[in-house]
Amino acid sequence: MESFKKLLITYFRCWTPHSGKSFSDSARDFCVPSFNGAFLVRLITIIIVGFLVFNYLLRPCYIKGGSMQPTYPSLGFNFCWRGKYWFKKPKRGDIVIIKFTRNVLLLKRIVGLPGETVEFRDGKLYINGKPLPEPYVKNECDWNMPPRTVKPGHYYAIGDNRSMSINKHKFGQFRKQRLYGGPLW
Amino acid sequence: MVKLIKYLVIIAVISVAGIFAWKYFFGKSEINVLKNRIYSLASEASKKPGESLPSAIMHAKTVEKFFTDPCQVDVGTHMFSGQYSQVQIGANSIRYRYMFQKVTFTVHDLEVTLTGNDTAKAFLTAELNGLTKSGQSVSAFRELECTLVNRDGKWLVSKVAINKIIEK
Repeated sequence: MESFKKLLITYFRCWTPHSGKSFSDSARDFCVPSFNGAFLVRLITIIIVGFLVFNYLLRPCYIKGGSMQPTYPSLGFNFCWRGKYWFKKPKRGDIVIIKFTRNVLLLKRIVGLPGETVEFRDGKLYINGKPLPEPYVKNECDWNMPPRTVKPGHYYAIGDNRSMSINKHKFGQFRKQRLYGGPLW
Repeated sequence: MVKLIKYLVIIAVISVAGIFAWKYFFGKSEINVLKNRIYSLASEASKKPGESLPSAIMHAKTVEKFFTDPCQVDVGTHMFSGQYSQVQIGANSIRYRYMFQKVTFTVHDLEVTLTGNDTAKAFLTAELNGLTKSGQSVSAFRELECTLVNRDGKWLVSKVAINKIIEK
């Protein structure tokens, strides 16, 4: 307890260095700051940095829907890391976030790259005619889909949960410009 | 002396950043002209509540001038697919203005690429938010691909197609 108090005192002295104020005064200044120029600068800086970080770098996302189960639960929270593909291209198996509408993002896994053919035969995914091992898929399915070629500048993404009917699962190819980033965890 | 150099470097960095920012936001590059054209079209197509008939006609006449004559509209197997003349676009514009008390078109994620000297492509997400005369609120999103051509110095939309954001 004594060491914790010492730590607090050190912290608040650091906060107001060489001010000569008592611990209680420093604590009160910290909790109820006076509305002066320095406080205004700090407040504006926090607002601007927060706006930039949470709009352009780490977009908060609320996961709703079970298309990525069991990798991601049907309800959850995550951040979209926008910088994930600034300097590298997406590769097969990457979990990506696709911009669907203004406020709706899709969480999917990339299975097909530009120029490849994607096909489902009796629930098994085939890329360029060869079966793709998918250890992340835990549910058996009976999906069938004739082969289709991924257009240049497009990627093919599917969710991990294949327990629903093929018509009810939103998946397919999307333009790379629609790639919004990747989940932070 | 060191302080002076420090100030000069700071001024140089701010100046360079300012020039880039100015060029990016206000530069008269062809891409910016095209982007402004699309934003203007969305603004002209929107309707404020209590719009008078002369104002509606004026806006519809302005909207039709954004398109070539004829303009190809490709929305899959939908009945609205086909070629539209400028007059038809203007008439349809008046018709939908009459249906809504207010309607707003907003453009998101606009990307413009020049495909030739006088041709360009624009990819955008169009958002429609409106309130019909019967009081029903309407909200819709569409991913659009527009082909634009330069006719006598003016960029006109020659083709509009609806793209699927994610296609099986």
